[in-house]
Amino acid sequence: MAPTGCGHRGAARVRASLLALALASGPARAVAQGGFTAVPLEWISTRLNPSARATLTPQGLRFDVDGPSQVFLPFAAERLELELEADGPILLIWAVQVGSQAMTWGRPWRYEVAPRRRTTVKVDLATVAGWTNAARPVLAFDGYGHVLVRAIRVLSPPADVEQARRTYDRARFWAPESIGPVLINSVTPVLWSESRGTSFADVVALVALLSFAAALGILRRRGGRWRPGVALAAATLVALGLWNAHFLVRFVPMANLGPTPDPEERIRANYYYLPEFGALAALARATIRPEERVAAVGKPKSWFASQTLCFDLAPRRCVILRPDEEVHAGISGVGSLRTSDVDVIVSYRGPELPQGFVPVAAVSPRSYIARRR
Amino acid sequence: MSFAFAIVALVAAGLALLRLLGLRTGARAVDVALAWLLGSGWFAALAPVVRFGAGVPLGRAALGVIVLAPVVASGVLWWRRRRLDSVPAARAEVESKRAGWLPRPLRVFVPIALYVAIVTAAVLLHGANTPTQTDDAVRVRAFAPMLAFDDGWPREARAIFAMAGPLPTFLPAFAWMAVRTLDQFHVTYAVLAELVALLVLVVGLGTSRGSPERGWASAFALLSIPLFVYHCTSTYSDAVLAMRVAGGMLFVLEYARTRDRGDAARALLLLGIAALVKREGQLVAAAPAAVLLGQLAWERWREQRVFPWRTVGVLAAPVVLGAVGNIAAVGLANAFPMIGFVAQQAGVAVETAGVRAPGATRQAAAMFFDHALFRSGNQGMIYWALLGAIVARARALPRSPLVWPLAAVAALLAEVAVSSIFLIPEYTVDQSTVHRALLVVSVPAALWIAAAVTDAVRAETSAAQHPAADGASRGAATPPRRRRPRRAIRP
Repeated sequence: MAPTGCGHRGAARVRASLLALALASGPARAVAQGGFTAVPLEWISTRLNPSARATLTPQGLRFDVDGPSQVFLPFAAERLELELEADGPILLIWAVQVGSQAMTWGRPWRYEVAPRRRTTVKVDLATVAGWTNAARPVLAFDGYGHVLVRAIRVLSPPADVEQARRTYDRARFWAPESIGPVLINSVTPVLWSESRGTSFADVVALVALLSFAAALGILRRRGGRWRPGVALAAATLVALGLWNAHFLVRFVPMANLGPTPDPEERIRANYYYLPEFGALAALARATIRPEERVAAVGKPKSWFASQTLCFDLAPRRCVILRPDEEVHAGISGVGSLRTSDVDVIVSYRGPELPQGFVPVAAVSPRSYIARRR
Repeated sequence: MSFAFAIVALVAAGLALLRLLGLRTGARAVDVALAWLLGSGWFAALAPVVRFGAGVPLGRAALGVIVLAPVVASGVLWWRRRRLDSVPAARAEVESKRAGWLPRPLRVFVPIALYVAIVTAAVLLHGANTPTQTDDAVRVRAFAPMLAFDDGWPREARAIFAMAGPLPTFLPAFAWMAVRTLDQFHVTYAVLAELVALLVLVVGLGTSRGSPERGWASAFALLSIPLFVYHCTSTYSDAVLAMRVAGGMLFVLEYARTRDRGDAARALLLLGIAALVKREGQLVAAAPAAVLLGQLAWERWREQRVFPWRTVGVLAAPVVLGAVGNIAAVGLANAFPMIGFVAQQAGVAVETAGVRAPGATRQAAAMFFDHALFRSGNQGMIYWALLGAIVARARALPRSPLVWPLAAVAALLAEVAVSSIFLIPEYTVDQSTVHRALLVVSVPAALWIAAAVTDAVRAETSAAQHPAADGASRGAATPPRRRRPRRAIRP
């Protein structure tokens, strides 16, 4: 899912690297490699926000992940190369800091499941909502386990604000769409120039209008008669063709195109931005017998996990566990079970278990399956 | 595998029904696609009547009877009248041979066909790979088939059925009930099957009726709607409703071209089945159906053609069956939830007409609605293309057969506009449903654009190649004024 692009290394580009300034002011060493500069991890480790829960080890910078956390990197960047690996189902999100806030939910949402093996993850920060040449990158983790970052390489942003704006507009225009909770309601709006607010649809409509006029004129000169129908076809083809070419570029990288015949594997691996949830749902399907009565519970005030777990566990009898109540209803209020009737509880980051239940299988300390003692 | 069995069974039922109703087109691919739409609609219309009306549990025996009834009836009729509907079949086959499946020029249509193939393959793979993960799907749309499989139907479950509609409730559960195993992915497969059927129908119908360019242009246009394409990979019903309405719209367009009452019957039948999707389906399908009925009444009045009551009966069958099923499930008061909802919202809209804040909300909703049509990207360039086609063909349209289908698209747009701006403006302002709601307009509009553009090109190309014929046809449209020969002035 890592967005890629090219054309960022033009000779005309003059970069005054904020990173270089930062490094020059400190004792750190930087190694340039293919336009990217390797940033010493020990230099970074001393400048991270305390909530990042980072430890410098001989292998690299290790982050302890237990639920959502954010890491504010102490430099500006246009791109990052992160050599990392994770030992649990962890989502890696990248964003930028705008003001004091990290915009980790900007559209299109940029994320990737942290790989279990050592992998280089390429991060194009210019595709992230709100990026400027002064914006600091933010890495966000969600899940449980450890992420070991072995190396961070940085492509510094252009110093010129106008050039940075153009870089941003171009990157945003080509940024791949990503699957997120709101994509079902609307796709990310496509802007020809985000900084100026110019809609791509307006530009395509104008090009199509010009194509219509040109086709009309050419056909008239060639054939000696007006052919508005053919000109209309040409203009429609231009409009839909341009739009569809751009659509393919944005949507094909998002699509999951690898055939996966096993439905259990699809459930485990294809909750795209919820790897921990997918692992739990697959584990529950594999270990809970069809006749067992299940209660599912998620984070307080979150509809997603408990409902979706019950959905994935059908046709088993399943209710949504409400910790303070004795009787629990199923999805949309269909069916009910008393706590005393429940055989198994599946908890995705839920509150404490009712008395008498103990975890028997887990994907993380907070996402597990519990049975009666 | 069990879903493949469902496809085969429902297609067989659909083919039998097409034969019984005399609505086969004679083109094999078109008939199979049409049979899927009809067979699944037949099952969805009858299942609630059997389950809630007659109180018969939907086990293998009930499924067998529902599916086999038309097959057996068709077999008996075929045995008695061996030459049933053989004439239209022969005609379509002749036209098919004449047209070829990939139109010229290849430099235009090969990329179009490639785009259609790539997007379809991507949608099938991504859709089949992706588990259900959105709120509305987990609570209602994809949950309803699970209730059908469970077959317990407590009061809360019946409310979900009324909201989801018979087709999304019973169709994905068909194979589960047959093999007694539930596979969550069947809900997505059912949506994907709709897409494949619609694409085969548009391309196949164009090809079989001598206009393959129209078929491919239609497929290209409807896959140009980004939100529609994405929705086909989800387990929401918005894309399904749009595709069902588009199936009807395709035959509305065909009827405009052929004036064959069989096409009108197919259109009304598919629109009647579209009314079985979601609670909104009844109102959405009513708009194009009303326009088509208006066209038939107009022809009765202006051209003295017989009003096709049998065709109207074809429309009424799924609507009546759906209504009976709904009433049996949730009672008369709750059987038509959208009508009650619209009446309630209309009351609120009238009450707050003079109040400043709702007025401002409606103004904002109108702005967002305009944005949704032309700039948000969810509908691609469809509304720009629609506007362009109407403007460019403004002079020809009033005399064109496409004016009635355009009225059907306009009726759909008016419905969604009223709903989005006046009835529930808050969902337009927060952009939570407006883009999805527009799919039922965008997909039929894409078909209309394709028809308008290809017909225009065909007419102009034909006129350029055969100036004499062009003169004749223009003469037929607008007879040139004849000048009287001047009398010789005698001295």
